Amino acid sequence: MSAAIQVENLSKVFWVRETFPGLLGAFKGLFCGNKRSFAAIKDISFKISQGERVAFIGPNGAGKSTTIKMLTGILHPTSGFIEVLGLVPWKKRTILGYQMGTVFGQRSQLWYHLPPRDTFDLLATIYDIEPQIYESRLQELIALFEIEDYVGKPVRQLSLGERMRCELVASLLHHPKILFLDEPTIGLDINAKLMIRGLLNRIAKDQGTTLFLTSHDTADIEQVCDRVIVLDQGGIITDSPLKELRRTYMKKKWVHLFTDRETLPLSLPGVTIGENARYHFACEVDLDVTSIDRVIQETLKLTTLKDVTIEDPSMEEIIRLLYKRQSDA
Amino acid sequence: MRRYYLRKYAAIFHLSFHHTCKNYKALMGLSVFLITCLTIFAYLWKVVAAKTGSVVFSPAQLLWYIAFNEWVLISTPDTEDEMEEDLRTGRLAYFLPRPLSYLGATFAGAMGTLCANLLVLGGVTFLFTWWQAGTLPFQPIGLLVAVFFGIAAGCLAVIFRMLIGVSAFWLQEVSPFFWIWEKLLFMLGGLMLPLSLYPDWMQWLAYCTPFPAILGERSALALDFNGQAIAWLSLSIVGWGVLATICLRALYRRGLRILNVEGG
Repeated sequence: MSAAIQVENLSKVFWVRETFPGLLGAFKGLFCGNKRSFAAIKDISFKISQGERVAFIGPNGAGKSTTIKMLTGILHPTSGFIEVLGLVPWKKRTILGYQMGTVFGQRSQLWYHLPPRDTFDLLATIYDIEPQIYESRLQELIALFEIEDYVGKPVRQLSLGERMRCELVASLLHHPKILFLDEPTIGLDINAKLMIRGLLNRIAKDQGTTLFLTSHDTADIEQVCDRVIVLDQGGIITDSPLKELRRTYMKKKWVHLFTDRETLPLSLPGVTIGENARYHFACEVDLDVTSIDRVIQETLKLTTLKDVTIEDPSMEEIIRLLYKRQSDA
Repeated sequence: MRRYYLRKYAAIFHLSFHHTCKNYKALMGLSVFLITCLTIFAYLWKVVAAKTGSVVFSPAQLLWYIAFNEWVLISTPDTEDEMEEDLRTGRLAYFLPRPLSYLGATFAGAMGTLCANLLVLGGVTFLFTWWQAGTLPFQPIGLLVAVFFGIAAGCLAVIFRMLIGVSAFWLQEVSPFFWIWEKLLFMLGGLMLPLSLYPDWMQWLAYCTPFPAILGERSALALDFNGQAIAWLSLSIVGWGVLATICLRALYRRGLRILNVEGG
């Protein structure tokens, strides 16, 4: 499969002006000030194939936005190589603009007092789409995103979920090969989130669109992406398929035991008790130290079991662990 | 290719015009504000004329003068605020990958809003001032010239407000800068009084700035409609417009370089 995005040894250094504290300091800063270099991105490399759905995540200030800005040609790298759809972004930004789409959950491209259809027409002109091609593409997207009922209603009268569906249609009109998504489900209710995630999956599968998603909502990552790149302090700390990430970090599981005894006097190495009252014993089991089988066997020696539930750590937990390990290191 | 490129900006202009017309509550608000201003000035000039006895210009002439000033002043959109928002929130970064110029799109959008405002507020201004003054300031053909120069002066005001907006690359917040610009526009543009009534040194100072081209010089046609004034006004608007556009493009390019060096 050909590469949609190729990044090699990419670095970006910013020069930040240092200011002095206080009123006097502000005045002093007008005449003299130090410039300090700040490495926002440090020698990162990755390759994304056509049709891949990649989550690009990291804590605030990790360098996600800087990387996206370099991938879209807004910023020039200090060193390293980037190619997006075979083009160098900062040299061919306009040509690349025709082949990529952007969806930003917190920034609307729809005109507030006008129906979405008007914005779609404008975008068709901006992206030089032939009228017949535009019309058939629009009808296809209207049907796919089920927006026929409100495509003619002013945007101000639409719900957030309806608006986001229209935002997606607006970003897909010119048939982009790559879609950059920044928090596409922010502020949406559960049903709307599910619908947006489902639609993203459909366009990736049906149309082969490469998805590059940034989100703090781990459910977006779990339900849409097949690969995760985790960034922290300007460097990549993990780049792996979602399944592998789960396998690697699922070293701990939560076990809930419902027994005949009100409290359970169970003490085993690798078992951390979370709750032990009212016939409910919940513990975190470190699988490197002990096994779930052993926990159940030891419990059965003490009492009879009524019910057992075993929970995998959530994606959120995995990511929290990843960030924690990095900061500890 | 160039024709297609211009078509994009024409589409933005058209949509912005349409968008402003649809936001009729804002237009009504602006109209009420304009009528309030004109009512106050209409009574003010009548009282001044009655108390002082003789004045250089009649209350009706002065009312038309102020009406032409307020018409353009209130119609000009807050482009600097939108640009500041784009630069401060990083929205500019999401606009840049599109195949069109940010400055061109901002200008086309602002012109769409300006023209819609000028159209609606022009009607309100004309009817109200005619009713209050009881006369027209010049021949009906002069009104067409006034409309043309209203659009041209508004266009010049938009470019200067974009210049203030682009300064957000350095200042982050442009409202104090705009406040100074606005006060200078009121004073040196001759918002309340025709520039010909100013002391000589102040007239000289005012004509060294673009403010009279936006307000007083244009509205003075209501007092003295003549070919020489029209020629001088045209030259003034074009000259300041070209200079401001060159500065705007240079500052924007410099600003983008800063974005690249210092980050967004």
